[in-house]
Parts: sequence; structure tokens; C-alpha cells
Amino acid sequence: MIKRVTFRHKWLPYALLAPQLLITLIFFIWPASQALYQSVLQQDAFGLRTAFVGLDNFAYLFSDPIYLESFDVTIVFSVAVALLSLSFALMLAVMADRIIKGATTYKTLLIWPYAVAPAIAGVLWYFMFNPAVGINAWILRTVFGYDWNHTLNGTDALLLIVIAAAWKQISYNFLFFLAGLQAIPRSLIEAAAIDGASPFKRFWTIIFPLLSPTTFFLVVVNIVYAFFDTFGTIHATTRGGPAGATNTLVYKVFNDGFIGLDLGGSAAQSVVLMVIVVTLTVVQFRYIERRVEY
Amino acid sequence: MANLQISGVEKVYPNGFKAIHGIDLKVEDGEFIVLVGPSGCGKSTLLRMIAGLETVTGGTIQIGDRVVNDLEPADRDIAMVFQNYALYPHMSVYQNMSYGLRNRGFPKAAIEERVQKAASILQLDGLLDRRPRQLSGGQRQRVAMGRAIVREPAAFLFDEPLSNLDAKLRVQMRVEIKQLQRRLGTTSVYVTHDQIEAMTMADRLVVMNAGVAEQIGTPIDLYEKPSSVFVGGFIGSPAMNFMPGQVEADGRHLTLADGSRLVLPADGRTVEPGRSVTIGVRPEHLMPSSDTDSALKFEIVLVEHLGADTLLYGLASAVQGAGEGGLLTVRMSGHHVMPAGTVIPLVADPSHLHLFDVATGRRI
Repeated sequence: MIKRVTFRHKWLPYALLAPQLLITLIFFIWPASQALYQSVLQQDAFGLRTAFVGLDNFAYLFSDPIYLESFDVTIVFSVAVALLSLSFALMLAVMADRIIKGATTYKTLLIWPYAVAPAIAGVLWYFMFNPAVGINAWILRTVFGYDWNHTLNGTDALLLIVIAAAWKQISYNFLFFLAGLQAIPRSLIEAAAIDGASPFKRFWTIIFPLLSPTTFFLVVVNIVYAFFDTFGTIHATTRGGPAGATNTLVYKVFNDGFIGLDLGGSAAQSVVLMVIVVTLTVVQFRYIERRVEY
Repeated sequence: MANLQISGVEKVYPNGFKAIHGIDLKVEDGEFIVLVGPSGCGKSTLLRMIAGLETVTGGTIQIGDRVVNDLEPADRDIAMVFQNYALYPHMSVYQNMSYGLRNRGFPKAAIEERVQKAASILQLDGLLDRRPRQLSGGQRQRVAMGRAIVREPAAFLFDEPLSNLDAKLRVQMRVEIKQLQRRLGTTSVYVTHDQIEAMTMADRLVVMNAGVAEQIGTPIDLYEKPSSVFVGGFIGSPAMNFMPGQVEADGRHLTLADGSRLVLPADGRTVEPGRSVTIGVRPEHLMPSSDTDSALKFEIVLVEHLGADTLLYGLASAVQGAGEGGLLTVRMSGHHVMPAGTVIPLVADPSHLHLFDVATGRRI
């Protein structure tokens, strides 16, 4: 049984909770309620008049082809980031798990990219793929004959931010996969080896299924990351362009609100995002608890 | 069905540590061999080398008429039961048992038949759809056994399979494994650190110490004629008593550190007079005596009543020099009431005295 802590003074527990509550209130509850409030308002271009419009902002959003396109872009972007970073991380983790000499060095180096700020990561890849001076763009052009240009080509631009965003997330996924791999008892792998499973088969029939709780957790985390934490990467590179090809939902909130000065519409988009993140969190909590045991 | 031959097998780890110092062992077809020894003696390493989970750095391992040194575990025609069972947690009992057969491309009908047969032998019939976590410890153990027997391998390897079970279940599974092995007649190598398990299950025992096979023989051989102080102390519970002594001039008596005397066995063995020896005597071969002059003085410290036996733990000045803390154990059959502090004179059964060389610890 969990021991209950009793305080001598009634105010003490409240005082101890106060700092955390204050932070939550100022940085979470207040902005969130502001977003909710703003989402049912509309302002004129100069911010002189504000009118209550009910759910008009939302109705407009879901009839706006640009917004729906942004949805598609975000989904493609998130799935691509999750897939790319998870598969690379898993591959690296499997290799790092096998290595004996210099294991710590490899692990440390593989974790480094996580410390790079999103905007910096974006700029790094932006330079490497720069059509004029970037090494990767040069290789693509001279070796593969592909004329890479992310400032003109929407697909190239989307690929660029997918790579930049996924690269950063590989470290995080790698850590979890490595921990997951190390939690699999060695004897299971040995038993499978005696049972005549090739290394490839061992991976797909034993290791991968046993990693599934980790994988599922990471899929949710990566999608949340791609949805919400990639603003810096996009802002430092493509700025949603060209022609909205990399205009994800989060970037569009910023763009419409602070560049387009459509506060109501931008707030309505924030509310939609809030609903999405709440859903993802619920999914994560509901299913992870259940899937942890096989 | 095959015999297993281990010749001069050595294991040196990359860091230079030598875990196995050249072991020779010939296991006959259908024999049940137990490797026993304290932790770190290399018994598990040897088993894992037979399984192919550790590389062999010297000597050869032969299963049937094939040298398997460089074969993959899957190609050695062996099955192994692990200490933690190593059941695949995401597979049902049926899938666990059939995994090895599926990997080997057996036809579905044959797999079904073999699994059903194994399940009925092991009383797992109603449990084939369960996951390992829905099973008790004993049932998991049976599934691990089932996974081994469906393959019908040349040899079974057991790596301390009972050490995760509670005492009662351990005794039960011990009997079940032994019966199953008799019934199937499959050559088996079984690793344990539990000497009772070793004594009860083995056709022949290999007592290992620090990477060396100290003695190989039937359980009773090892009990009655331990080849060294180590084997004498390891086999038997409570452990054998050791004390220093010296052979008297007449060659027929021993003098102990406290001046008491023991009669040497008159079995024709000759020990040169004056030689210092380590005397080993099992607790059941020490008994109270009426002769108070030459007998060992034994002061009772603790008495354990087991019902069938009474164990006396006490101090004897004859033992002090042996570095055993002066403690001596005596086992008397039946129930005896003896208060702590009582001093009783002891004599040893001369036909059950074991003499060992002081320096090497080998049997004389």
C-alpha cells in the first residue's frame, strides 16, 4: 500500500504545488483558453473591431482547399518522418547492440544529433542540399543526374524537411530501441538460433514482435513530434513553400496568425491541433498500457 | 540418438581468461550426464560450447560421428532447455513448440502430430493456445521441455532448468525430467549447481572446479571414493568433515591435532608412516564412543532435528588446524535429545575414512 503523506499545516501542500500550478496556468491553461476564445472571434484587418462569429472560423477552415491541402502535407510529412527515423534508428540500434568494441563511442555519437536545435538541423541540411553550393545537391546532379532544387520543386522541399526532421529524431528513437533490444533476454535469441531460425528470421519473428511496445510508443511520439515540434526546422528552411508544399498545420497557424494577421482563423487551427494532440495522447495511454504485456 | 564425445576441449576468452582447461568426456548413447560444480566453474560454458553458443578455442566436440566445432547451433541436432525457459512470450504454447519445426520446413501435418504427441506426454493438452505468461512455473518448464522433445534431437542440453522453481516443484520436475529422459532414451547433458539434483538424476556425474573436471563417475562412486578434497566437500550434504592428521609409525593409526587417534582402514592401502594427510570423514561415519581416551572430543553447539536424522554441529580441537573454523558435523540416525554444551567422545568408522594429500588435495 502506498503510504499517505500527512502535512501538519493545511496550506503547506498547496504552497508546494503552487509553482507548478502557476506555470501550467500561465503557459498552458491561459494560452489554450485564449486560443479557444479567439477561435470564435473575427477581427478586421487593423484590429479595430472584433465580432463574435460562433463556429464560422471552423466552417471556413474545413471548406478552405489550402487548409485541407495543408492537412495532407502534414500527414505525408509525419508518416514519412516517423517511418524514416524509426527505420534508421532501428537499424542503427540493432547494429550498436551487436558491436562489442567501442560500443560506448558509437552510442554517444549516435545520440549527439538530438542536442542540435531544430532550426540549426534544418539549416545544416538546407546548406547540404543547396542547389548552388550544397554537396548533396552536387552529388545528386553529377552522379545521379537529378537536378535537386528545393526552392522551386515542392517534392524536393518536402523531402528536405523530412530528412532534416527525421535526422534529429533518429537519436531519440535509437535510444529507446537500444534499451528495448537490451531488455530482450539473450537466451530467447539463443533459443531461436537453436530452433533453426536464421538471423534475418530471428529478427522478424522474435526481436521485432518483442519490440512492438517500444515501436508503438515511438510511432505516437514521432507523429506528435512531426506535427508539433518541427516549426523551427521548416521556418529555417522552406518557410512552408514553395507554393505551400511544406506548409504543415503548425506552420500554417504561425503563418496565418502572425504573417496573415488572421487571428481568429489561426486560433481555430490551434484548437484543431489541440484536439489532435489530445486524441494522440489518449491513444498512447490507452493502448500502450495494454500492449506492454504480450 | 547419438553419443557425444568431448576431447581436450578448452575455452579461452578474448581477454585471456581461461574458463575451461582441457576436458575429456565420452557420453554414451542415451546416457544422462550431469555437470555439477560451484558457480564460475565453467559448467555452463562447457554446455554452451556443446550447444554452439560459445566458440570452442581448443579440442573437439563430436556429436554422433560429426565434429561440430564449427557448426551453427541449429545444425548440431541438439535441443536446449534454458534456466529462464526462454519461451517466446508473444507466441502461444503451440507456436513455441512448433517454432523449431516450422523453421526446418516440416509439413504442417507432421508438426501437428509431433506437437500433440509431446503435449500429451507433458500433460499440456489443454494449454496449447495459452501464452507463456498465463502458465505457472511448472507448466512453463514443461513447455520448454516440449519445445526440446518435438525436435527429436540427438541430444538434450539442460542449463539449470529447475533453479527458478520452488522446492516442492523442483523435486517433482526432477523426477519428471528423469522419467522422460529414460522413456525417450535421448543422450542428455544437464548442468546444475545443486548436488542433490546431480546425485539423483545422473547416470554419471562430472564434478567441475575452476575449469577442470575433478572427477567423472557414477553418483555412488563419487560419494564413496571422492578423488579429491574438492569432490569430497562438494558431494554430500551436510558436507564431509576434514581434519589434519599424521600416520603413526605402525602405519595403522592416525594421530589428530588434539592427540586423539583414529584407526586406519585395513583395506590393504599402504600409507607411509609419518606422512601428514588430510582426513575426510562424512557426518554419518562419526559416532559417539565409550572409549574416552583416544576418541575425538566434540562439544555440541547446535542440534538440528530432522526427524529421521539428528544433525549435531559442534567444535572439535582436532579440526582447528584445518582452517575449517573447528566446526565438525555429525549425523545420527533417529531422534536424539542432546543439549548444547555437552562434550561427547567420537570415533570414526575406519572403513569410511578418506585420506587426501595435504599439498595437492588428491586422494591417497
